[in-house]
Amino acid sequence: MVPAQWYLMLSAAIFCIGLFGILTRRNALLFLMSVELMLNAANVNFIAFSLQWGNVTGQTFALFTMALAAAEVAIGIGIILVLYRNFRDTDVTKATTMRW
Amino acid sequence: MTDGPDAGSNLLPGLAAVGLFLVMVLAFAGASFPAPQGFGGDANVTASIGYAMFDIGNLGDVGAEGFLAAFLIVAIVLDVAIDGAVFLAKREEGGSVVTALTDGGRDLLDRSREGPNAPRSERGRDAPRREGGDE
Amino acid sequence: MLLQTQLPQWTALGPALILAITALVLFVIDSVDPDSTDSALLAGVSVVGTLAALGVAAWFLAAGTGQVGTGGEITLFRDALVVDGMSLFFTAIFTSVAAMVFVASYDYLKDRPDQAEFYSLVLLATTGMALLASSNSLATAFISLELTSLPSYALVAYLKRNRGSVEAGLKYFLIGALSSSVFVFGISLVYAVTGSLLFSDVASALGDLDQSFRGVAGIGVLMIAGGFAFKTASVPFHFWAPEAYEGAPAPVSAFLSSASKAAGFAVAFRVFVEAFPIATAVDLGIDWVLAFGILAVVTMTLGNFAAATQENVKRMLAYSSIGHAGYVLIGLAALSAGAATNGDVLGASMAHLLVYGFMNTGAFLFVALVEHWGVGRTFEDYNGLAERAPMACAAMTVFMFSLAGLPPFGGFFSKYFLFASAIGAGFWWLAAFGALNSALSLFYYSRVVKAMWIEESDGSFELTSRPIGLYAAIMVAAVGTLVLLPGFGPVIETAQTVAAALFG
Repeated sequence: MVPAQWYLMLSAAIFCIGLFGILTRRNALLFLMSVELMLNAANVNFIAFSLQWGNVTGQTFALFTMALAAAEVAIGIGIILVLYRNFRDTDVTKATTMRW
Repeated sequence: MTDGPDAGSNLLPGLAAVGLFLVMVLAFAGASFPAPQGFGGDANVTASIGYAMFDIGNLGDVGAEGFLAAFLIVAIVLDVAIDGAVFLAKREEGGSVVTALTDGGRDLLDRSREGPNAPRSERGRDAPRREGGDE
Repeated sequence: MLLQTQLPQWTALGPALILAITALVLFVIDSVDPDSTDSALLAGVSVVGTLAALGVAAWFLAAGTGQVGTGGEITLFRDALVVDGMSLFFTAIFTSVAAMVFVASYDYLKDRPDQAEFYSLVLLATTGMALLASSNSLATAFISLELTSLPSYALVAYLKRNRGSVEAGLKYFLIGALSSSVFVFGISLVYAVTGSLLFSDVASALGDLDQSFRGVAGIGVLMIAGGFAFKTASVPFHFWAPEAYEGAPAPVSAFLSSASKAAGFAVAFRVFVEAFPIATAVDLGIDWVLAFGILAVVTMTLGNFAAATQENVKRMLAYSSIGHAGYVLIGLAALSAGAATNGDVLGASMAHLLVYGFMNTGAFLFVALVEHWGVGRTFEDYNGLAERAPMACAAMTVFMFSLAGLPPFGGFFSKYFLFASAIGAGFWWLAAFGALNSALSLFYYSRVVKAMWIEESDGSFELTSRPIGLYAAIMVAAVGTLVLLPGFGPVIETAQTVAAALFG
């Protein structure tokens, strides 16, 4: 059995890879993918610690997190689509009508 | 689009992510968890998730919290998602709604010429225009 | 007393149910007649539904549902949701703001396609806020938070062919998605050390936590605070606010900056007071009271200084709304373990949010009115506006002076009680920063008043119409701001009573 703190390390690594993607990439779609990575880092914790604590609260909540991630992506893709129609690009820095 | 060869040029902000990782590792390294409690040999985990999700009985063999409220709220969230996504993605052409589910690529290209570069009055119809902004 | 014996328990969620059902009714209207531009019908249904929810919330609040006198909080769905005085108080704020926004949207959206989507999304966001204020578990808190956020993203980008609106929507969405993933990661860390999501269970598990887990718990609590900072537009997740409020249609800006901010505070109050009790948290070395104190000072200072340098009125209001988030944060920053003053401090924050709901919504709706007329957006464009529209400008003057906290208006009383309670709790430095910032804020708020009443207009604009809905909404907000003068006694009393119950 792998000790529980290694799951924390794994999820921290996934979370930080997602954050790295957000900080370094400028494409809105890649931004979305990175956010997904961060959400799933949380899911790793929920599932690992579900076993640790012997209750299924974490596993059940992980299912809800996935549903919410899907809903978020649906709205996100909608906004990116509208952005593309207006600016011909999905580069978040190209949309510079206002100061960032 | 973006993320071509020059994507490496702004790796510097990524150091913040690396820094956060180091902080987390330091914070987590001290934690020593006991052996996992586990679910018990013959417990039916899948069934328990189902019981927990709908607040049925005493929530199955494995302990859990009730998620019926969360389930109902997620149902509304998904309503929002479909309402919002369809609203954002559909296009109006001459007053009638064109579904967003067509193959947009070529069609979009043609339309865009009159899109962003269209005269101000065309775009300004949507909202009060911002002064001195976009050109 | 009467409710608990006569109505079944689930009716305590009445306001949220009414809001959700009204949104579904709008879906039905939209599917029967998809191309409808019948503003009167859509806005009418929305206003009726919201006012019904407001009425029920006010009735429950008056009858004492879920309060100490009538048997305490009502928990539903195996403790996942809770109805108490605080959740009803906040629901009253959300529904009042939403009702004003709907009345104003009647004119703002006239003759546009897709009106049904607008009204239903605002209603669903309001439903989410009402549920957020009732959340008693990190699971329902997160999901309700998403229910308020997702419609907001779409609403900010509502003007699909306006580049500013779309760009604002994208930026709001990106920061929102990032902060919600940070928030859920924080929840997962708290679950990792406590094994539960219900606030009461989290609190008791934290109470006997091994010291070796304090790092994990600390990062978890910090990340959860970050999620709330986004929702309330506080430092460090505040920078979306000026972009989103400026680009969004003005009624949406009004809704987000008043109701959405109040919703963030509602859940933040409950999570930090109930799930991470001060005494326990300080024992673990997670001193969130001090963290919120620093955030409060930084937020109010940054918001007010940035607002003072703006040329665009809507952007100025956006930064001022960041400043007000800083004032409200005093409610979390001036707490101390077991102190008798805790209820007063938190209650004063809640009362300020109520007054803020009226005056800030009114100010943004005035901007909506000005946008409707096609007058520009800078301070200079407002020159001489009072000659053309004295009524609306008088209302705007009330909002501005009230936001600044000048004595004869509602904003003065709420700020006075807030700072006085902070001093009473021994946090005089928070009150000092608040007072200094209020003095600074008078400078930029009075610029608007000066432009409207004193400066000469250059005569380049025509006010073509007198939109009745916008006028009505602005007047309601102005009357609300003024009525809170004589009515402030009961408001602050209610707020402090329900807040004290939280610490009980």
